[in-house]
Amino acid sequence: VNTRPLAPIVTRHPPADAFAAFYDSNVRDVYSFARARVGGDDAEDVTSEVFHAAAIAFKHGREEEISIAWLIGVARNKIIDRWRKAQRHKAKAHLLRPRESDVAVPPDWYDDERRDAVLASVDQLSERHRSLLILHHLDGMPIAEIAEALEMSHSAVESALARARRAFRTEYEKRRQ
Amino acid sequence: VSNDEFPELRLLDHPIEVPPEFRDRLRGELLSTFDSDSVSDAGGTLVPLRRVEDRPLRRGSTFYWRAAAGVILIATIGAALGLIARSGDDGDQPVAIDRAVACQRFVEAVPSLSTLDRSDQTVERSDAIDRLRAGIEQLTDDLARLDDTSAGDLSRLRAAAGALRESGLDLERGDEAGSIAALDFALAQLAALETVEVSLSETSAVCH
Repeated sequence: VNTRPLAPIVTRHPPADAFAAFYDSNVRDVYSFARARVGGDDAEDVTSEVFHAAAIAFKHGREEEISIAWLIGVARNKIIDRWRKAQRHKAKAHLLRPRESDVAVPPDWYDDERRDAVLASVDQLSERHRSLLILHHLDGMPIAEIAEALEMSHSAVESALARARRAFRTEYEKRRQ
Repeated sequence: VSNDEFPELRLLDHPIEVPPEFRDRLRGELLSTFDSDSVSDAGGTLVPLRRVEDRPLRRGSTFYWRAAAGVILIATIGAALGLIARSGDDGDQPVAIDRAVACQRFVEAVPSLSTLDRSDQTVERSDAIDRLRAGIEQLTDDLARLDDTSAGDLSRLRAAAGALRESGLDLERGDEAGSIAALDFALAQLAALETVEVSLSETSAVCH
């Protein structure tokens, strides 16, 4: 019989209230991230899937690995999967990148009304236009990478992006008048 | 890139209120999974991914002493029976499973890593996860009969099998991220093995 010290048999993890606190601290950021990129119902689905994955990781004792960056990474993965399925394009997982920075708009620029107008405007776009606009203008992905991720030609991305910009401006100006 | 061209879009990164009904419902749903999957022990911690038949493993040192005593007893009986058999007929070689046989059985039964990889073919992946789980359970049973695999490694193999079971269930529920998280956990358990090497390459399984 092997007599060396036994490795821990049980995967230990914090109790449910630790996960509850983690959820309470982060649900708003995850939902906001998802809501900016997909519609309301889809944002709820994405948020739910992300936190279920986090719960499993917690239950496996991997809570140290779980951070807001991890949550956003999973959310981004889910969202790209949705875009890929909707557009019958194959996104490349390695192109999924962590959130690069916090909000970069000038502090005096923000107000709820303006944000709601932006959100309502992107909600009106087609999923294709929305995804291109978000990937390029919000997430900062170069056109070449978008073309590779969505298996489109460079020129197809450029022209679709131009149409997406026009559609967004039209919707946004309508709401700002 | 061109964030300056469309600064309005950066507003989307400002936090937005989560619909309270959704937030509370999801919170309750998530916490209920802790209740159903877990069993509190004396330290107040939670234990996931254990089937009823696995739970004796959590009982701590008493269980291991009993298990160790059981192994010694079985080994003693086995040795005695072996001696009796050999004294009766020296020409008969007892056919015993060894690690090579156990590993060969495992390698033949389980899929390669490429089959388990992220793919749209969820049915195929679900089947692969199930085959890997069954293969690991069989390997664990086989190795448990030998005395060259540590108890720690046997428990890691059982944990891997439990995680694969969870991964398959998640996939059936459509929770792909959960399935992948559980699969990663299972592979991490295999990577942590010390007295036996079990891994999956892109094209085949490895077991030594």
